[in-house]
Amino acid sequence: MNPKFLSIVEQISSVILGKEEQIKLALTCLFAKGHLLIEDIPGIGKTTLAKVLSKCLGLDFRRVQFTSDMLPGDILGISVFEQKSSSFVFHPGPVFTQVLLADEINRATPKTQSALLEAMEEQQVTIEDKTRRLKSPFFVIATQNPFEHSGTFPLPESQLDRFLMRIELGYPGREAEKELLKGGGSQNFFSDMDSCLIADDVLTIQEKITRIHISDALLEYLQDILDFTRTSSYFYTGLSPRAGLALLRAVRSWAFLHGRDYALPEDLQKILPWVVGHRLRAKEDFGEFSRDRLNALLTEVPIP
Amino acid sequence: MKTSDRYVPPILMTLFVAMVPFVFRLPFWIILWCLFLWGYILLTVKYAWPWPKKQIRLLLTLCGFAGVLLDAGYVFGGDAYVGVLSVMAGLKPLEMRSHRDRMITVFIAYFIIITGLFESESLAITIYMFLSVFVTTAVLIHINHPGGQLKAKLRLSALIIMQAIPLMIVLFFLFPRIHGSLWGIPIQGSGKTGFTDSLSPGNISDLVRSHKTAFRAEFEESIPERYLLYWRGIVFEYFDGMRWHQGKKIPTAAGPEHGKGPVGYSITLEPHHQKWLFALDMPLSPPPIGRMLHDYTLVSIRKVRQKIRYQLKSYTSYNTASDTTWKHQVMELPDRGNPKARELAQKWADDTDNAWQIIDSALTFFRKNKFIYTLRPPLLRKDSIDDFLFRTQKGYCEHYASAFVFLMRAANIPSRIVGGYLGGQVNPYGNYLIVRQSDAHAWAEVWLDKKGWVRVDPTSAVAPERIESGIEEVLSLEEIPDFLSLKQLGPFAEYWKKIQLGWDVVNTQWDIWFVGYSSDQQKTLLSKIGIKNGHWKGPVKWILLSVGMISVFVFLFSIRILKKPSAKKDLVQQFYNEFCEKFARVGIPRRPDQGPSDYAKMIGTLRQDLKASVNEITELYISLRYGHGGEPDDLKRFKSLVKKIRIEN
Repeated sequence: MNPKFLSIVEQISSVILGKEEQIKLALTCLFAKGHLLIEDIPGIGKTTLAKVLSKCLGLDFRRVQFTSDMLPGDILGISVFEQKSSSFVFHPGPVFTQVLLADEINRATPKTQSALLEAMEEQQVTIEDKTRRLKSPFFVIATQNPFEHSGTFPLPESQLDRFLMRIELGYPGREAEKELLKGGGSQNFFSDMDSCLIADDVLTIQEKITRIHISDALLEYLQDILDFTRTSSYFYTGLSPRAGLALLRAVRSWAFLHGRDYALPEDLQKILPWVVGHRLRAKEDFGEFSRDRLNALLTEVPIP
Repeated sequence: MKTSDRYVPPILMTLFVAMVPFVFRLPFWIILWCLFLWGYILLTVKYAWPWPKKQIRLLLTLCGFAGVLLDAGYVFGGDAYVGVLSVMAGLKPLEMRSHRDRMITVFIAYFIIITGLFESESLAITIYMFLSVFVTTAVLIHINHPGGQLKAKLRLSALIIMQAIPLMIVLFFLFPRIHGSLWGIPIQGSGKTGFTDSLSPGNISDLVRSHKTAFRAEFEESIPERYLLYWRGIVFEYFDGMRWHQGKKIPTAAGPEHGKGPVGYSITLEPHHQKWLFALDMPLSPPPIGRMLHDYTLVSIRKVRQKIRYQLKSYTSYNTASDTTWKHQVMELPDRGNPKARELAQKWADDTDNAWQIIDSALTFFRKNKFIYTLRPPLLRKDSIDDFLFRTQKGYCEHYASAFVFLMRAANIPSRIVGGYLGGQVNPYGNYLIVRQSDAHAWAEVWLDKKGWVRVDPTSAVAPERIESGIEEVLSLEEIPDFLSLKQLGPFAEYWKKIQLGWDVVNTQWDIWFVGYSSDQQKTLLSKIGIKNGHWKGPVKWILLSVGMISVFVFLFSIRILKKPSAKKDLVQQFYNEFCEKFARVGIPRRPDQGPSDYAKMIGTLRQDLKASVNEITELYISLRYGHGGEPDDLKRFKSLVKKIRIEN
C-alpha cells in the first residue's frame, strides 16, 4: 500500500479501532468520487468514521439526522425574506459542504431522499430556478439501519445505484473492543487530530486515479463477470453498464491506494462484493446476497 | 498423506480394473505379485513409510522378468507379453513419485486394457474394455486436474470416449485389414478342441465331453430335418490296423454334379487350429477361403486360428456316381489282423452279390447282438475290430463306424469313415443352429454303382435316438457329462438355457458384424465408394492434394494469427500457463479464479524455497499482462525464467 495512504489509514484506525479494511474501502470510495452507504446498527461507529474521514482529508463536514418530517428544503436550503433588505436571501442548507453525513437516510420521505440523491448525482442543486453548484469535492456518506423497518422508507434500487459502495462496519474485534473500553480511540483524540491532506490534494488524487491503466485482459475479466451476472440463473437481473463503470472506478481507486498505476484481477475481486452487493438480487427470493455467497459465485468466473 | 500421494489409490484402481480379465489367464504368482506390491504401496502412502530404494526396485525387476521368462519357457507368445506388462504394472507404482511416473503408470493401464484383445475379441471383453477405458480416462483427468467434482470428471471422460467413437468407426471400416490375427499373435485361450487327422477309438468320445461351440450355422431358409444334419468335416480312408488316417489330399473343383434341393447357409466357425472346414453333406463348391478335396471335404487355405465365416450351398440328396477319383485306398485293408471280422464279411459276400444286402447284414448284426452305445467303452485289445465285434460289443460312434467300414472293405465294398458333427441345437431367438463339440460324430460312406457314395450311419442301428434327438437322450444318466446334466438344476434349467441362447444370439451378431469384418469385406466396401483394388492411386492423389491444401491454409492462418498484436499478449499467457502447470504437477494448481499475485502468495507460503523466483516471474507477468507492457526484453526474460524454474517434488 502507498505509504501516504497507509498513514491515513493508520491515523483513522487509531480512532475507529480494528476496522482497517472498512477504512480502506471508504477511502477507495471517496477517491473514486463515489458516495458511500454504511449499513449497520446504531452505536457501531458510523458517524465517527465519517467525521474522522473528513477531518483527516481536510474537508468540511456537516451532519444531517434524517427524520420523517423532513422537507427537501431542510437539506438543500431555503430563501428567507429579510425585512432589512426587503428581499429573499438564500440560506444554504447542509448539503453545501464537502462531506455530508446523512444519518438514517431511510427515515426521510422519498421526496426528501430524492432531493439529496439528485444532488449526489448532479453535484448541483436547483432551488427557485437558480442552479447552485455544490462544493468540490462532494461526498455523501449515508447510513441506515437494516434491521429496523417500522416508519422507514427503504431506498429503491434506482437510488441505491447512486452509491458506489455499500459497506458494513460490524462489531469490533475482541482486542479492539477491550482497547475501546479502556478508553483508547476515544473522541478526545478527534479534536487533536491533524489533517493529512487538504481539499486540493483530494482533487489531485481523484484526477490521478482516472489515469490508472486498465489492461484489455482485466477489461475482459470484468466483462466476463458482468456477463456471468446477466446469464447465470442466480440473479434476478444482471449488472447494468453503470455498475460496470462503477466497478472500474472502484478498481482504479483501489489499485492507486495500493501504489500501483495499473489494476489487477485481485483488485477487482477485492472490491467487487462491496460495489455490487446492493445492486444484485437473488432470483429465488429477491433477497440480497451475502458477501460470502458473492465471493463464492466469483469463483465460477475464471480469469481469462 | 502428501498431496501427490493422494493420486496413488485411484491409479492402482485403474491397474486393477485393467487386469481383471486376465485373472484366470495369468500365472498365479503374477496376480499375487501385483496384489502384494500394490498393497505395500497403499500402506506406504497411508503410514508414510519410506519408498523402496533403487536397489530393491532393480532386484524386484530382475526377479519379475526372470519369472516371466521361466514361465514362458522361452517361447514368447501373447501370454508372455501380458505377463511382462503385468509384472511392470506391479512394479511401476513403487516409484510413482512424480507426475511423469504417474502418467506412465496410467498409460501402462491403457496398454493392459488393449491386450485384452489377445484374450478374445468377444462382445463381453469389448464392453469391459470400454468400461475400463472410461475409468482410466477419468483417473487421467483427475491426476491432471485434481480440483472439481468426481461427477464432472466422469462426465468428461464419457464425453471424450463419445467423441472418439466417430473416429473409431471410420478407422474400423477403413484401416487396412490384416489377414490372420490383428496382432500377429494367435488369439489364445480356447484349447485345441476338435478333430485330429487320425481317428482311433476314443477320439470322438473325448470330444463329446466338451461343451464348446464348434460352429454356428445360419440357413437362408428353414433348417432342414434333423436326420439330414450331417456336418462333413474329414474323411478317413486309410487303416493301419490300429488307427484310421486321412487319405491322399487330391483337390477337386466341385462337388457332386447331380443333386436335389440345394440348401444355402453360412457357417461361423470357431478357431480349431486345423485346416478343415465343415459343411452339410454334400457341398456344391468350396468357399473363397478354401478348396475342396476329392472326398468332398473342404479345407481352408490357412489354419483356422480365428473365427471365420463362409457361405455354402449343399445338396441334401445327391448322386456322385460320375466321379471316380476315389479309386485308391478305399478298398485297402492291412494284410493281417482281425481274422474273425474278415471271415464274417467274407461269409456275407459269398451269400450275395447285392451290396445293399451286405450292408443290411452288417447293420442287422449290430442290432441283433445287442450292441450297447456308451461313452465309456471298455479298452480294446490287439485286433481291436474283432475284440469290439465279438467280445466287448460296447462302443461309441467311432467304434461302429470303423468296424462297419472294416467289414465292408473285407466284403469288397469300397467304403470310408466320415468325421464331423451331427445335428445341433436350434437357437429360437436367432433361428440358427449351434453345433457343439458334444455333437461330434463319425459315420460311414459306401460306394454303390450308379449311386456313388451313400451315407450309412451304423450308429442308427444301435441307437436310433442319437440321430433323432441328440446325445442327451441316448446315454444313461451317469454317463452324461456334467454340462449336460441341466436337468439337475430343476425349474431354473429352462431359464438358464434361455439366457444362454439369448446371449449366444447377441454374440453371434457381434461376430458376424464386427469380428468377421475381413479384408475382403473391406475391399467390397471400398470399391463401393470408388476405391477399387489396385485402382487406389487416384483417390490417394486426391487425399494427398486435399491434405496439402489444408496444410497451406493452416499455415497461412497461423501466420495471420501470429502477426496480430494480440499474439504477443497470448504468448505471455501461454508461458504463464506453463508456469502454472509446473506447479500444478507438484500439487499446487492455480484455481481458475485465482489472480497472479494471490497465486504467488499461495506458492510462497507452501514453498518457501521458490518464493523469490516465483515472485520475480509473477511481477514480470503482471507488468506484461496488466501493466503498461514492460521493457522490450521482458517477454524474453519472462520466457527464460519460466523455462528455467525447476520444481522438485
